Formats: sequence, structure tokens, C-alpha cells
Amino acid sequence: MRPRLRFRLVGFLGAIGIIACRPERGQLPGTEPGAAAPAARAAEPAGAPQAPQDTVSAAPGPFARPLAAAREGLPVVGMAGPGGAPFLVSSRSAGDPAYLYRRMGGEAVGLALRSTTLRQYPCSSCHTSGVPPGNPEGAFRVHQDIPRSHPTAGESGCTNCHRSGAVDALSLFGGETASLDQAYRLCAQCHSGQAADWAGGAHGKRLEAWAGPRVVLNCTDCHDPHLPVTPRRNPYPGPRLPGARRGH
Amino acid sequence: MPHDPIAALEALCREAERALTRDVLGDPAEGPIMPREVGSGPVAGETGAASTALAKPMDRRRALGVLAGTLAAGAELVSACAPLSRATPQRQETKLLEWEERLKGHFRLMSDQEKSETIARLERLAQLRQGVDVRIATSDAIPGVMYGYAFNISRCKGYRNCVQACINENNLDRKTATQYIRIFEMEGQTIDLDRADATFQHEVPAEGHLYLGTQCFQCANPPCVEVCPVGATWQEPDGITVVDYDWCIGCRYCMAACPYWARRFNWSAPEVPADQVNPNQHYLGNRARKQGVVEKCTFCIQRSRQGLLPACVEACPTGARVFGNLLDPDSEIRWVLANKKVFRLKEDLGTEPRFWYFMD
Repeated sequence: MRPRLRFRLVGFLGAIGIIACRPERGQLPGTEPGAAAPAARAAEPAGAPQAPQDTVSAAPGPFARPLAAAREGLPVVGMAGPGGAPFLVSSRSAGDPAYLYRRMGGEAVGLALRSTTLRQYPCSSCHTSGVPPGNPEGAFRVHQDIPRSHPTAGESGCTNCHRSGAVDALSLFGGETASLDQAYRLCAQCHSGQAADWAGGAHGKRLEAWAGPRVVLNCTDCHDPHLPVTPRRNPYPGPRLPGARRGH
Repeated sequence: MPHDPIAALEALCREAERALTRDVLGDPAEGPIMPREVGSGPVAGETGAASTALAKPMDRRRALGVLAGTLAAGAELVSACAPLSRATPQRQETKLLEWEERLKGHFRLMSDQEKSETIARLERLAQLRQGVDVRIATSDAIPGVMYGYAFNISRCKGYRNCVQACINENNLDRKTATQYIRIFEMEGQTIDLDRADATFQHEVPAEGHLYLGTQCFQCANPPCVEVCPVGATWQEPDGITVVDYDWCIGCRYCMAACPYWARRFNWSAPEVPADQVNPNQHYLGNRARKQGVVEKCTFCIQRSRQGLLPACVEACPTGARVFGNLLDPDSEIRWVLANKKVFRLKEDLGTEPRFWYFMD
């Protein structure tokens, strides 16, 4: 009898405690999601010290901070982001792409699948007098690190994108050339669907910040242009879940 | 018989009072346990409930028991309030700060002064416990911002870089390997989460498999908030559902209510090695949690409110994750919603997740 009564008493006091702890709904600010924040809060960021004006226009509102990626970014040519806004693309030939690594907790995380710099660039350091024509077999013997899968063997090959007269640049179909940092212009000639998704934000990867200047990775930051599939590797460890229960 | 809650509550109170009287002082219905002369009336100078209680008849054994109990409770209180004299100054300061932390209020009812005081205490405690200099923000939601998230199923390859980044960024427990994100491997070209496997551990992407990641979807109509009995979890104006870890009582109703298994419970105090602690923290985000409270994904509130991308988005090596402001018509997330065929999980439940899936 006694322990049972005691149990009921504890339960009763617990219920009283919970009722006492529950704040009144009307008491709490911002109960309605989307409710306008108090004016005092809105005014707060204006008092924050302004970051020095960079070459890239500073972000509006509370994000007046220099973005590491924005300093390395280059304006995208011939495409516009959502709402027709211009955006930047990361520069692969900028040297050491330190901004492609981010420290999270105790670990430095690589942000792109390919984080190496170009090793044999510029090409003109060897190809001083152009490239001998019509010898793809010889080219692949010399450049053994270049996989031979894209474009496929049935297609015409190296000269789709590389031209003897302009070895340090990429050649577009119309006879125009694009720098290696404008690889998206070359890829977009065939992969127009992906290019539209890339410009809009559904394909590819934005760097660092959702606000402020939009800097995205170039096609070649993730895809090896000569072997554009995502590589296979072991994943990071998964969850430890009890017994046969899987997933939750 | 009509149900009268007030009368029921009064009856309950009377019963509780009777039970208390019986338990501590003996059942009056059973008659006096000892002769009247032992309990010889109230002692001079004693007033109120204590004197009334002491005035009741009581045998020596029972009186000693009550006295011992009172002393033990007092000693407990004293040891908690004033640290033991043998303890080091650091230990004393820790105890004192911990005690002050217990007495603070609900985060949303704190004044700016109270907020800065608790932040100072928490930052000092991190230093005392682990020797880590952390910065805990209490920044409010940015006006005109509502966060949204999209996940590209055809891009995810199951590398789990997002999971690892989340662990590092949010100071998740290393001992029990807490993870906010689950990546489901689904066989064939179907999206069937009932037969999906989140524990896969082989080379990815596996042939003929799709990968789908889940985490907290920051629902616009969150059932977890609805069921919390103490108001320890709520939706912020920017759409992020947060937990006040110091107000949570650990009842786990929210975990039962969430249809997406998005919340995690700390059966023991989370352990993070000092050299791996992320010092960039938020009061409602990745600050040190304690034993017996629920935690969840907050879209990395400490990052997103600074304009940065959440850690999972930043770390994704294939760009399968899109994050942005739903209220900005020119944001990437809005472009995805407007131009891609999107869907959400368990839409029929009416939880209105702010997390969409799409394919190329």
C-alpha cells in the first residue's frame, strides 16, 4: 500500500512540476514562424563593423564579411544564375586552391572530388611549336596519366577541345578559345542540360556561403574531363544501430 | 457523471496530502503509535508546518529517521552549494558555475543580460572542463530568411562525407557515434525506404543503387514541438526547430512524435576529445550537451546564421545538397523548386518538411 501511494505522490508532484515548467504560449517571442523580428534586432547588424570593401561587392545585411572563395573567383561568362544574377566560378589555375579545404572541428575537409592543381600546365612549356597532327596514339603514349574514355574512341578525340595553334587554351566549336578556368563553356556545348542546372544551382556545388556573392565550382573541379565519372571508394563509417533494425 | 477537472484536481490534492501525512507521521486512522506523553506539544519558538509536524505523536525511532533524512538532504544541498574544502579551486569554480546554471530560466524568456551571463558561465565551464576556448553565439534569426534544403538523389554516391563533417562541426558524441544524418542505400531504381539500408559499409557507389540522405527536415508543422510537455523545443522564425538543452527533461516524446527519426537522445554525456571540439558554437546548436537530453540537426545554426552553408552542404563532394533562403526568389533553392520535379518524404502526414528531394 505505502510504496504504491508514494509512487502516485511522486507522479503527482512530477505533473505539477511539468505544468510549472511549461512557459505560457503567449509569453514566448516568435511563436509564429515567419513573424517579423523586433525592430531592435533588425537594426543590430548595422552597428557591426563593416568589412573592408573587396573587389567583389560585399554581401548585404549581416554578412559583410570577406569570403575566401570570392577572392579567388572569376566572373562566369555567357551564363547567368537564378534571376539573371551574375555569379563567380572558382579558379583552378589560381595556384594553391586553399579555399577548397575547410576545417570542421578537428579535421580539414576537401570540398571537391579533384583537389589537385594542374601539374603540367602550361602546355606551351613543351609544345613550343604546336602539336604534331593526326597522332593520338603517340599523344596517349606520352601523356599516360590522361585516361582515354572521354570523348569515346568513336568520336574524333583530342582535337575536339585542343587545337595545335592554341595549346594553353580550350578551343570551342565556333573557333573561339576559352581559358582552362572557363571549362564550363566547353562542357556546355554538349551537356547543355547540366549546364542549365549548373547555372541555376541544381548541379554543381556552391562554396562557403548561401548569402553574398555566389561562387561555384567549375566542372573540372569535380569531373576529370578525360574520365568524368565519380570514382568508387569506401565511405566514412555508418551508424551503429542495434540488432536487425536498419536505418532508424 | 459530468467530469469536473477542478474537483478532480482538488480530490487529488487531498489524497496527496493524506498520503504525505500517513507516510511521514503515521496513519491517523491507525491511532496514535505511541502514548501521548512522548510528543509533548510544540517546542517554544517553532512555528508553521515544521512545528505542526513535530507536535504530532511520534516514536523515537521514527523521529531519528526523519532527523537523519533531513540531515542527509541538508548535507547534499550544502555539498552541492558550497564545494568540499578539499577540492581544488577549479573544481570549486566548476561546481559553483554548474549550480548557477541549474537555476537559470528558459532561453526565450532570458533578458540580454541573463543571456550574456549564461554564455560567460558556459564558456568558462568549457575552459575548466576541457581547457577549450569556445565562443557561444546567441544570434537571432535573420529577418526575411527562411531556410530550405534540397537533396539530389541522382548525385549522392553514399560517401558519407556529410556525416563526418556533421560529427566534427556539431560536436557529436564520439563514444556512442551519434549521427544526425542517415544515408540510405536503395536497391534497384526504386525509392523504397522500408527496404533501404543505412548501415552499408562497402565501396560506393554500388552498381544499380541509389542513395538518399535524411536528417531533420525542419518541418513547417513540426509534431515534435507540438508534443513537448515543457516547451523545450520550438521553431525559430527562420524555420529551424531548436532545443534548449537546459530546459529539456529528457522525456523523449519528441522522438516518438517525429515521423523521420530525426532526433537523438544522450543516454550519457556526449564525449568529444578536447582537440576535436569545434569552438564556433551556438547556444541552440552545437554547444556541449549533457546527459539525458534530446538533440537534433539545426541546419548548423551556428554557421547558417552567419551566412555560411551547413557543414553537410559544404562537405558534400558531389554537390548533391542545395541550401538557401526560401524567401529569396533568386536563390538556388527556389530555382530547384521551380525547375525540378521535387518531392518530400511522408507528405501525407502534413508535417510540411522544408527538405525536398529531386533527380537530374
